[in-house]
Amino acid sequence: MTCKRMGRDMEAYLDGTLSPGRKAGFDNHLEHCAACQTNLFRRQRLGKMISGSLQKMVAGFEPPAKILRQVLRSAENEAAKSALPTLLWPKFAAAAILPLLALALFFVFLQKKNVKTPAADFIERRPASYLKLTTTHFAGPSSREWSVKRAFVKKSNGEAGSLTLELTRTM
Amino acid sequence: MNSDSIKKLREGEPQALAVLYDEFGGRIYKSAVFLADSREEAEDMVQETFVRAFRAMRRFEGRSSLYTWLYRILLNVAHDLIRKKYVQKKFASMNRVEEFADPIEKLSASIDHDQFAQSLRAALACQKMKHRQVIVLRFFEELKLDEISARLGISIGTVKSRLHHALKGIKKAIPNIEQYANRCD
Repeated sequence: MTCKRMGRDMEAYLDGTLSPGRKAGFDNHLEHCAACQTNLFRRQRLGKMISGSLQKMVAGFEPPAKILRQVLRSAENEAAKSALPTLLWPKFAAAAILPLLALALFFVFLQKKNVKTPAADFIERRPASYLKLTTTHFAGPSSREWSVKRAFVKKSNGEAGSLTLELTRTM
Repeated sequence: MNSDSIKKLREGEPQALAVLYDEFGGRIYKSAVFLADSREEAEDMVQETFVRAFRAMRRFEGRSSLYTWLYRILLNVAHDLIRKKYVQKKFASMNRVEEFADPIEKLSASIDHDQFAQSLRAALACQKMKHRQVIVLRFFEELKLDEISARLGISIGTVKSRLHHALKGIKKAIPNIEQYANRCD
């Protein structure tokens, strides 16, 4: 084992975590190398000095009571913040569900208001796959409020037929 | 700290935090003193550590000891503080001549210790945070290399390297270290 290797292994040696083979190599080198003996001695001594000094520096140190008070105050604020959604959850849920319910009722109402009214003055059959409907009037509510949703023709025995308009309230 | 208190903490009960603080507050505070540049800063760090612990308690899985977990939070707080101070320092230096009080003097005023301790404190304050951390963990917490590695989340090789540089830095900052050593002997 080289002196460089000894330097690398020194901390693990002090910890007692070197493998048996490496430890034997370390001990063997140490026995014959005065420089490494000195290094190890100095390292152990420095470690003790630092350790002792650090322990001594804070020996009488106790955290001031105000820290705990501040910690608890902050924690209480945190707890209050996190509890807020839980407390308000039923209200939030109600606030979210009520408009949806109102919307659903409104649609049901609209469905019921759909009007079917027969009225057509002229039906022009085009070669294309649609019918052009012309109407001057029909017995329905004002066209400002209603639009044609669906139109269909019911034929009856030959030429004449009846037109049905399905209206939807737009306003 | 019993499992009941941990459970209460997980449920977000602030009073259970007092139990955690009673058990670990002192040790965390002492370590914070070494990582901070002043006592006020150490107090802020401890406070922030426990508040963060309270917030994160639900995520504590018990894979490490509670103290180790708290210590990791403390180290994160220390890192954040360093970053914040770096930014503040940068802004301050843009506008005025720096007027930073000597942190050692601030701390030392309240500590009765010998000359070596003063020199060591000064030497520690000059160290980078990553080197300061390994010194504190190695010589104050008296942890082994693998324990430091686990605590900091770095490899054992990195711990060795940091320790080597930290000790070198201390020796450089205290040139007459041998005199102190001889006095100690």
